[in-house]
Parts: sequence; structure tokens; C-alpha cells
Amino acid sequence: MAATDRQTSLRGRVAAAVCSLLGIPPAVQAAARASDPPPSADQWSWDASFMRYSEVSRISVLEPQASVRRDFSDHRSLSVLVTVDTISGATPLGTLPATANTAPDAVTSASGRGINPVIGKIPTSQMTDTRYAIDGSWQQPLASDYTGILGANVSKESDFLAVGADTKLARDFNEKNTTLSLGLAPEYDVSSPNGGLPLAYGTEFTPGTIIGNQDTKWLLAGQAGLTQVINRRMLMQFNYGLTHEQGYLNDPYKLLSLVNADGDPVSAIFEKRPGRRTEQYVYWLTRYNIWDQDIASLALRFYSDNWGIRSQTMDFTFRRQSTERFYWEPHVRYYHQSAADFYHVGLLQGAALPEFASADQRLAEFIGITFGVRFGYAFRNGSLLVVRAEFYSQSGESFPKEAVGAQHAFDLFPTLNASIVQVDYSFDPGRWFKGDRLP
Amino acid sequence: MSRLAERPTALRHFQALGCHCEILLDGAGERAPELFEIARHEAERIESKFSRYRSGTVIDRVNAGRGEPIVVDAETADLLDYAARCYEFSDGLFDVTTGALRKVWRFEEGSISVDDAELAEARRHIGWHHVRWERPVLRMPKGFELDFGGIGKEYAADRILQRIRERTQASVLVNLGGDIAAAGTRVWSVGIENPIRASELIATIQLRAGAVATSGTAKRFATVQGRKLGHILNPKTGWPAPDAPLSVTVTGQTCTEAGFWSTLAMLQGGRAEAFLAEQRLESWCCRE
Repeated sequence: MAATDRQTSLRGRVAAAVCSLLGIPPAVQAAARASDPPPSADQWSWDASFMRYSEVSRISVLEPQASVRRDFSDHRSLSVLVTVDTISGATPLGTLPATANTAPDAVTSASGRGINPVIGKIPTSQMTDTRYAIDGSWQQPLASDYTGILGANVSKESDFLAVGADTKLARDFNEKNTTLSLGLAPEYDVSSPNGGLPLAYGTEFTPGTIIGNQDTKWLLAGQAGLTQVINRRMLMQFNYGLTHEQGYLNDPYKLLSLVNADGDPVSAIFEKRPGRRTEQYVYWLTRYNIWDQDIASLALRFYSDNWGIRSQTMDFTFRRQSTERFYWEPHVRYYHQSAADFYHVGLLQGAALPEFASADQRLAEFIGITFGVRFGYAFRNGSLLVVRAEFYSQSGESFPKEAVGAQHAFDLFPTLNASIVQVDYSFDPGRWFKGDRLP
Repeated sequence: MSRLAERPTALRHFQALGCHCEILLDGAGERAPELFEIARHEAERIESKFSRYRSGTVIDRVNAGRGEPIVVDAETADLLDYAARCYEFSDGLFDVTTGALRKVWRFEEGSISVDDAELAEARRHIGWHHVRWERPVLRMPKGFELDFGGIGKEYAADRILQRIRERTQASVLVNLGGDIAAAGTRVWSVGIENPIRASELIATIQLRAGAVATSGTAKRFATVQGRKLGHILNPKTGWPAPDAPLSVTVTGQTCTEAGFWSTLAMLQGGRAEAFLAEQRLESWCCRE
């Protein structure tokens, strides 16, 4: 009998640890005892969120999201997520700033400033687009200790279509103290750029540069994961992922400047990336319950690909449960990546073109730092309100050695600052069911 | 690349007329410094003569007057003749007597406010049709204010260009805070600044002999009583023109002419683009 009790309470603790892993509030988790009966009837839960991501003088994204989940009494569930992203603003073209020699002779404006605003400024173009995405997934127990998830997703923008699937198989061992999972996600993308598909290394505004309407790529992502309860306070998760992409991997809107010996950008060509990319990462998460309900989480991620990019991520959160219903959670994230082998700020006019080249700053070396805070409040009816506010700053090599002539004087990687605000409201009757029993 | 070979041989900046001024010369050789000085003197002369903010100017004499007749010099008379025609051509929208109106509107970042009583009072002191102009005698009713703000900078650009071209065959570009006049054989490239993001250009014009003017506001719109308002005041309503573009750029033979059309287009509000198309003007409107 004692053994059973011990086992029961252990299962409760495991369930609690998994809740914390999944981000369910501890107020609920504390009540999620093994003695709770499973939900006796079919249940609906839903989640609605709104996010605004805004870069200073660059792009901003508005993203409403809604999801519903249907839990059936036999542990099967169906969930559907709908996302709409509206992106607008200025995005770098990849070209180098105009110099005094290539800028317009004069600028007309209503501002009366008169100073030529173009010299030394990273050229950008205005873009607006809306993405609609739907993601559905079905989860069900397969055999004892096995769970299967099967999902499909479609995402559509004016110039891009992605269709994907994902499958995941999870197996619990060791009284659910260990979970092993394997996932596989194929995806097929169609890129149909506005203005046509440019020839890689084709010169902008030159006949023959537009060679078609669209191109495609496919992608296969595999992931293996291990979640392990270390002791009653600590849980760890290890993931390994391997992704292979093949096909059209260029960004059809990104250009590279050809500069003369003085650094004057005299023309621009479209970028050219390899047609294959293999990416690998390892991820290690540790969650630690410091006191009953306060949780510290540290995640480390190491990534590398065959384009020469290596990245390291460190992500730390600390969730403080101030009251039974209210928590707040500071967050700090550090990210560093090295540049792709074929990243160049620009190319020298007249010199032989390298096999591949891109000036896309997402392929450059940079450091990204995020800090922010999340507040959560659980209502008595089982709904949860979470507000997140974050600040992101990205900085790279402002004055790269590779720059030529006049370009040495310009900040070629201005620090990018962005803010993220998100409001999320969710309702889970299961949470209410359990939450109502709080002492 | 060929453009790189034809860069201006000389460039001079100075501050005058409340803005940043730029003179570009191509082919002037050793005469460039002398021509720059002529340009600068002309800018300063026009500024000191027509400024609203300096005492003793002809504008100051008119505005400080109590409605008595004032005899003006030939250049001022020419400007008043031009102002009278603008008023007529624009059906009263282009009016150099709106000074009183501008004083009662408070333009701050993102907000515009006005006191109704003050506005009503100001509206009693505007309107070119109340002015008696019989060259060279001007009679402005008491409380009225003359303001060449909508003409002055463009006029100065044309005048400076003339002064330089009287002395040289070199190609010249005069840029007074974004109002541009050019002459000569050289083709100049003129960027149009994006009023939302000042480091961007919305288009580049190839300009040989001719002019470009831009009207608009560096500040954003404000919404007052549900209407999106800019900063260009309509003398007929006393209010800023609703739904006006952020900026309107127009090309023309002279900067004064281009400036007239760009300002008038702003006053058309939501109809600016249609208005410019009706006039068959080469133009660029930028909206939020």
C-alpha cells in the first residue's frame, strides 16, 4: 500500500513537472494530482492571442492567432491553429549605401532638411504582405505507453506557399519518468516572387534577368527527443534535429552590390545561394523547481549547417508565482551566429564572381539579445491571461574589413532594435475543473 | 557608371531662407567661388527683404500697418501681382493673406488643436479679396497679414539660378531645402525623399533644365474629430485640408510654378492625385 502511495505521488510529481515543461500554470499543476479523475467528458479548449513585433524604422508584424482543441474522453485530441501575419515596413535590399558619387545630385523633400539622406544609409525597400496559415494536428494513444501525433499545415502569402506535414511518435518509459520521441516533418514550398523569378547573379533592371514565375524547394526535418525527470525538482530535455533542404533557397528579393575600387556601388546583382542545405542542432533544457511553484529554466542550443553558420543560444527564464493565480517571468536570451561562408557585404566590380554569394544580413555574423517579462493571471473559470513584453537588439559588424573605399565610413550593420508585445487569452475547462478544487 | 564621370565639379552649402541651401556647378571651373558668393548674396537679400520675422522688411511694414496705403518696390509688386493671379487661378485656395489663420492652429507631434473662437476671429482677418492692390499701392485691412511663405523659397531658387546663369554657361542646380531649379546641359538626378522614412527615396527624377518642388509636411497626420488632417491650411474653411497626401512633388519649367502646383495639390486633399492628373503634371504623391 505504501509503495502504491509513493508511486501515486511520484506520478503526480511527474505530471506536475510535465505541466511546468509545457507551461501550464503551477496553480493548476499543483492541483493536477494523480488522484484526479481523467476528464470524464469530451472538452473544448481554446486560445486567442495577438502579437505585435516592431523594429525601429524597419518592419512591423501584427499577428493574431486563434486555436481550438477538442479533447475526447479516450485521450485522443484534435487541435487547429489559425494564424494571420501582416508584415509591413522597410527591409534591407542587401545593397550597399550610396556614396557621394552615386547618390542623387540633390533631394527634393517637404522637410527642407536638404542634406542628402541617401549617402551612407543602407538601402531598403517597402514591403507589405499578409500570411494566412492553418495548422491541424491529431493526437492519440497508439498502444500502451505510445502516443502518436499526425499534423498538417498550409501557409500562404502573396508570393509564397508552404505545405507541410508532421508526425511524431512518443514512448513513455520508467513510470513516465522518461519520454522518448521521434518526429519527422516534410515540407514543400513554392516561391513565386512579385515581379518574377530573378536569375541568380542577374543584373537588376536588365533584360533576361527575369527567368520565370516560380521555383520550389522541399525540406525534411527530423527530430529525436528525450525528456527525463531527474528528481522531484528537476526535469531535463534533450533534442537533436537534422534538417535537409533542397531546391530554390535564394531570397528572390535580395541583391548584392558590385562596387568599384572607390567603394561606389555601381550596379546590383541578385544573390546566389547553394541549392542544398543541411542543418543540425542539439538542444538541452533544464527546468528546476526552486520552491514549490517557482521555476527556473535554462535552455542551450547549438546549431551548425553546411553553409558555415554556427550558432549558440542561451535562454533563461525564471517564473515567480507571486500569488496562487498570478505569476511573472523575466526572460533573457542570448544568440550568436557566425557568418555563412558565402556572405559578402558586396563584390568587387570586374573580379570573377564567387560560386555563391549573398549579402543577406540574416547570413552575417551577429549577436541578438532579448530581454523581457511575461505576466500571467489564471481566472477562477479556468481562463488564463498572459501578457508578454520584450525588447530585442541585434548587432553585427558595423564596419567590416571586407568593405571597400568609401564604404569604410558607413555603418553597414546598424544595430536593430525591436519590441514585442503579446497578449494571450486561453480557456481550458480541464483547468477549471482542476482549478476549482484548489484548497 | 557613366554618371560617375559627370559629377559636379563644385558644390557649396549654406544656411539661408530658414533652410539648408545647396548650389551645384558643373563646368564653371575657376569661377565657381565667385558664383557661389553671388548665390549666397541673392539668398540673403531675398531673405532679409521678405522675411516675416525681421523688422523693417516690406512684409513687416505691411503687417504692422493699420490699413493705410503702402507703396511697394517693383520686386514686391511683381510678387503681389503673382499672388493675385495665384488667388484667381486657384479659386481662392492659394492666398498670401492666411498669416492670421496659421497663428491660431497649434501643430504638435500627432495632435492639432484650435480654439473655435480664435479661429472665427482669425477667419475675419484673411482673404485676398479684402485686399486692395493697385500697383504699386497696397492697402491691407487692419489685422491682416501678408506672408510670402508659400512662394518665397521657390521664387528665391529661380532668382538665384537666374543670377548665376547671367554670368556663366555652366550647368547649375540650386536646391533650397528641397525646392530645386536647374539650368544648363547637364542631366541631374534628383531623388524624392520618402516623407515617412527620410533616408529613403521614393523615386529619382532626371532633370536637365527645369525645376522640382515638394509640398507637404515633415510631421505625421493628426486625427481631429474623426478627420485626418495635415498641416496645410485651407483659407476657405480655415481648417487643414483633410486627407491630403504627406507630400506632393511636381516638376515644372520654374520652381515657382512647380511650387504653386504642389501646394495647390495638397489643398485638394483626397483629390490631389486626380487633380494633378487633370492638369497633366509630372508629379509624385506620397501617402501613409
